[in-house]
Amino acid sequence: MELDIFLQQLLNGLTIGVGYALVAGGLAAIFGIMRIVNFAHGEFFMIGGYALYYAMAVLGLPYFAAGPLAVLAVVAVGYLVQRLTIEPLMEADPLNTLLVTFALSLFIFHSVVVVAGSSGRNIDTPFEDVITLGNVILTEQKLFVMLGGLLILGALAVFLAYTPIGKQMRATAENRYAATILGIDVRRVDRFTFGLGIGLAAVAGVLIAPITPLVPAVGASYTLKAFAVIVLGGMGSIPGAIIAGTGLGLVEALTAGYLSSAWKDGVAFVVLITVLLTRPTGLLGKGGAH
Amino acid sequence: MLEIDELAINYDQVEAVRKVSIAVGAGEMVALIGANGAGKTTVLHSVMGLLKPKAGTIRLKGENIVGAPSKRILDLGVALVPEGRQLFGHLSVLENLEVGYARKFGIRFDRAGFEGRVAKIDAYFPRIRERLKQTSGTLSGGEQQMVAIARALMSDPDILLLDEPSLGLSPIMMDTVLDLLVQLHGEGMAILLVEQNARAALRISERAYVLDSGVTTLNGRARALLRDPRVQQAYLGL
Repeated sequence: MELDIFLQQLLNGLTIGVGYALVAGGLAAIFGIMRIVNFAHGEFFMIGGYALYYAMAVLGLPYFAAGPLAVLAVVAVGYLVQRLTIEPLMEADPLNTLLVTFALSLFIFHSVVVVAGSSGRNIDTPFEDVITLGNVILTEQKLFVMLGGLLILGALAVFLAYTPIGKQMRATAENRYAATILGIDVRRVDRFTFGLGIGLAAVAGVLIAPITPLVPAVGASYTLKAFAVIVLGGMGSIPGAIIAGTGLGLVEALTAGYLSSAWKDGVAFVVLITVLLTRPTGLLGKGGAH
Repeated sequence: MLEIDELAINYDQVEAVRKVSIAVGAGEMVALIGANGAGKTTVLHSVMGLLKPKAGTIRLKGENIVGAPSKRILDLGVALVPEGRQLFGHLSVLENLEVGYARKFGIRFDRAGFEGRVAKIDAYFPRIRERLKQTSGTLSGGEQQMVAIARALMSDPDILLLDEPSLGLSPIMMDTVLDLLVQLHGEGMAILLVEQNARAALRISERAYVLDSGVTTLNGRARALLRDPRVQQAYLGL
């Protein structure tokens, strides 16, 4: 019985943790490569969920067609946002882009409230069935989130490690000046990075929206969590964000299971503070494990 | 090959470079010496397209490159080995070279072309051949300098700009790096060498320029400058 509860919480934690890892991985890429603090990051998670909802409810598309379409739509919005509001300010004081992304988060949030209202939406997916393994219960959608999310994170790791663009991204993250004098088009690297980061948040939105009440405020809560995760993982470290995101999901779920769900955010931040007291640069931050 | 004429560059309101004229012929090795803050790095950065001059021209193989993006300048055959080496320390030596080779933004990598290029420069760098898989940040200073030069050579330049390549190296390692420059020059590479070690730079160069407070004040045969009392007093400590 004890083991069942533990396994149940482990699976719950892994599901939510994969979502955090996707959102925070994108935030870490944008911060690590562009040095942009994207306060609007969680909003792209949120509009990913809403884009999915409208593609299914209004266009009548099935989940598997609506999901990719929603991600593409959000990436297109992200690309325009980057070109119009962030790229012109890349050389300016970083405070400018900080204010821009903060304004964007408010703009996106209130736009969604105006269009969709602030009440919750439910999304029905083809994965409504429940899988039971002894006393452990798992919905098919949660399994899909876990497997789909892990697959995408794995693909991201392979992409960064082995493709020329991935290597250019890592090189630019580490030394933008050296990348520039070697003839790397860092502006294109930036555009790609922003699109990729936003895309990861939107993928998380499409995966998670069916298992969580979809409300406009969910964006801000994911922004906050993602920032905690990238601080925990080491600022700008994508592997760090993936490990820390998954870990945060597990800590939250185990806290909710063994203590109370009221405690889960509190315990999560206690873990964050403890890690920072012992490793001020985060789990995989510069000056740490590298 | 490279002609810099009456170059002036400001950082905000500060005049970093006031009047610099330098020419490097094809296959020529030229030194640029001067005190800290004289504007040497600023000159190199303007050639690479990182800084917009206030006045003057920079011509490369006859083409005015003022305002051209860095990528275009590399395509025209210029490469810079920056001060402090500036390797991607978390990337392996091999990845550093790959990033130096594949400047195009894309998914495809010309592996055969890359390996051909590595094979061409391989003989210059016996010490890094066995260290290709090693994380470049873990190499010694001298090895890192070698990787920085190898990385710059990946773009197959006709002229190599070097910013203080001997800085922070042991005397033996410094000689190894300078020997490598002599060897590259011997095989037809044009070199513009910025060095704080004026004596070493003047010994291996054909011609040299002295940069003082943003102005090229002296120039001539490197051997003649070595004997010039003004140079001896200001830069050679004699």
